[in-house]
Amino acid sequence: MGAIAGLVLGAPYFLERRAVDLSGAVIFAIIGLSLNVLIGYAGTISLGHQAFVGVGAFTAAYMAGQQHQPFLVGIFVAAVIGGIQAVLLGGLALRISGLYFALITLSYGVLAQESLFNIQSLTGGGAGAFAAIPTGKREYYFICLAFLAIVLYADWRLMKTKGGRALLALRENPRVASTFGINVKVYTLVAFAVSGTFAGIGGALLAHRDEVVDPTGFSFQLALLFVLMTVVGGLRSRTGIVIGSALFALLKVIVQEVPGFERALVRWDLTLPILAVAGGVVLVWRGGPRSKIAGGVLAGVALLVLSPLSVPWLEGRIDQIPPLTAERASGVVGPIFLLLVLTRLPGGIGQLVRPVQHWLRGNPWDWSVGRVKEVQITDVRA
Amino acid sequence: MLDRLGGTGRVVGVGIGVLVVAYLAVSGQTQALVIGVITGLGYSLIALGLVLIYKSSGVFNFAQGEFGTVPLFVLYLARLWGMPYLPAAVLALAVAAGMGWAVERAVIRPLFDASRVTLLVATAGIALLSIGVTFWLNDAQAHTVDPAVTGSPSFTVFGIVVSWQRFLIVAVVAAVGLTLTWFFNRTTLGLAVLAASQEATATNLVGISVKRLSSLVWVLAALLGALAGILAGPFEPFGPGAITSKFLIPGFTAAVIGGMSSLPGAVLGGVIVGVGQSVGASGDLLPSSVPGGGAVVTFALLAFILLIRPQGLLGKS
Repeated sequence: MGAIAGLVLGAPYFLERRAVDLSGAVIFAIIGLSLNVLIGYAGTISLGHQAFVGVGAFTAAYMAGQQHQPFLVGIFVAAVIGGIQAVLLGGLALRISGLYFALITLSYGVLAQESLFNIQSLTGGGAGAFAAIPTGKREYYFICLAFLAIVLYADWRLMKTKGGRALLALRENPRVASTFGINVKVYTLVAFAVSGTFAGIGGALLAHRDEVVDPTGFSFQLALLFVLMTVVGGLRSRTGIVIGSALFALLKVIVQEVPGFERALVRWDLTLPILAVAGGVVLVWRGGPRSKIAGGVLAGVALLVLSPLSVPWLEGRIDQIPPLTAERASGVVGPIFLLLVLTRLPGGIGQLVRPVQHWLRGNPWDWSVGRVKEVQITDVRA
Repeated sequence: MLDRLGGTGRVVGVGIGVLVVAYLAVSGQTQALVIGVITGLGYSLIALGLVLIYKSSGVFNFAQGEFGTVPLFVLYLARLWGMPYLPAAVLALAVAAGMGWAVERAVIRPLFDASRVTLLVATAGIALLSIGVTFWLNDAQAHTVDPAVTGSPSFTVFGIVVSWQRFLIVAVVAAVGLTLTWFFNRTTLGLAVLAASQEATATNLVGISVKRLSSLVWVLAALLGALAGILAGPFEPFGPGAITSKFLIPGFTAAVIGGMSSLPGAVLGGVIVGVGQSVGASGDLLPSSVPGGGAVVTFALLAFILLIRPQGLLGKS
């Protein structure tokens, strides 16, 4: 535990020029936790979460830029406004559920980006709104970390109370939950309020980190990225979501900072066949009869590509494909993670972390702790 | 078509339609009306693909827009390498068909028993992956590609200027509509697809492979998406994710308005969304300080139909 704490607290010192990116990772963790309240606890998917975050960001920028309020007041107002707009949208979720609600949130996100965030008097229109960073870049990281701690604590307390158990029950089956005296409507709205408040805080922190907010930053691809990092992190696993969100926020930084990683990506025409040979060998060694054949073919083809005969022939052709730089790679690697989690590792990163937590509490090592059969977003409501 | 509408749906649908058309005609915006209808027919092509997939696998396919963007890039590259238009378009359609088949095999089939929302997230992942790969190969640069009809770009009917490319969209939607009607009513294969969508287990029992039908439907849907991309792509410069960002939400709205399982409904819904957006964008609906009227109208249409008539205008309740 001490090592992890040291790593988190010391990060902005040994990666000083990356302090802004590190703050981003913490903010993404807050946003991931916010989305987890909806998808993981309440079982309603939100594909418009960039609007939740954007409302917080523009509110904070409005409070700082046009009302000249101090930083903390801006964050507080952003959290409140974020909660209110989420409850308004949640009102629709009471009547529209499952797949159709996903469409509504998606459409709401685009509406926010194209219309709300472009209203000149509130958001500065296309030019963007300004919000100064209140401290130095490194100190700001610790401010974000403090807010993450508050959000984590609130989330933990929420799930320990009657309200949290009610949310879990209504995700499993709203009808059964209401038979047990749980007010489904009220608790759905509570989930939206909590999620919107968290997202508002995240958005406000994001606004002050970037110092300028403009509507093009809140495209629906961002909403898909939020869903992606939450699912890969592992629904209902706080630790997993914090790690998953930070991982996605830092994907570019990791590629650039880990020695040799970016070089390996740029020379993917060599790296990929080497990985294919390794994968093929593993398949031949461990797999069943059919995968042995497939592995053999894979390794054979990869060896052929690597052989000195074909390299000069390929060289001229592969050069026409742009190199896979860090920025480009993050767009390709993330979705592959998602598809792998959905088909192979339903508990996400949370599933990998669970045995470690179990072991740290003094129990014997057990791989099967926290194993999940499928990515359960919602069962009945869809 | 109208007799399938219920009482409320008939009154609401027809009433709004007449009001909007009358308003546009009176205020002299016939040009905007025609453009809106034709843009809407483009949305219909996406909506038809969404409906086909929803009928056969119960999936909301968020990758449908990418079935349009990827062929558009293929068409652009093929033209860049000096291929004539027709072979290039055929190549683009072939790539789309392959993509539809691959998506079904690699992602949909392994998740056959998963919950529908999980599948939705999976298709969204495919869309993101496709955007990521096109971004890698292309960066964020915007390109333009030739329209299918070059030379004389437009003609005038009753004082309304219509470009030949837009006319082609109308013709293609009509042809697609006729083909799909024929396919589902007159061919054994079409009947088999309908049977599988209604009762998969029984269809399997009478010796029809539901898995193969599922592949077929995904290929068909990908082809429809590709048609939307190739025909509507040339109007504006496009970059990675172009068709997804411009067509996916209107397409879904159109499909939902039509009832999510009705093919004529999808076409009707597309036209409603197209006309609605052109009213929204005309600046008469919202105060001028609030931009983005098209997106506001799309959201309002979607929320309205889901609250008032969730089974859609032409869907069965």
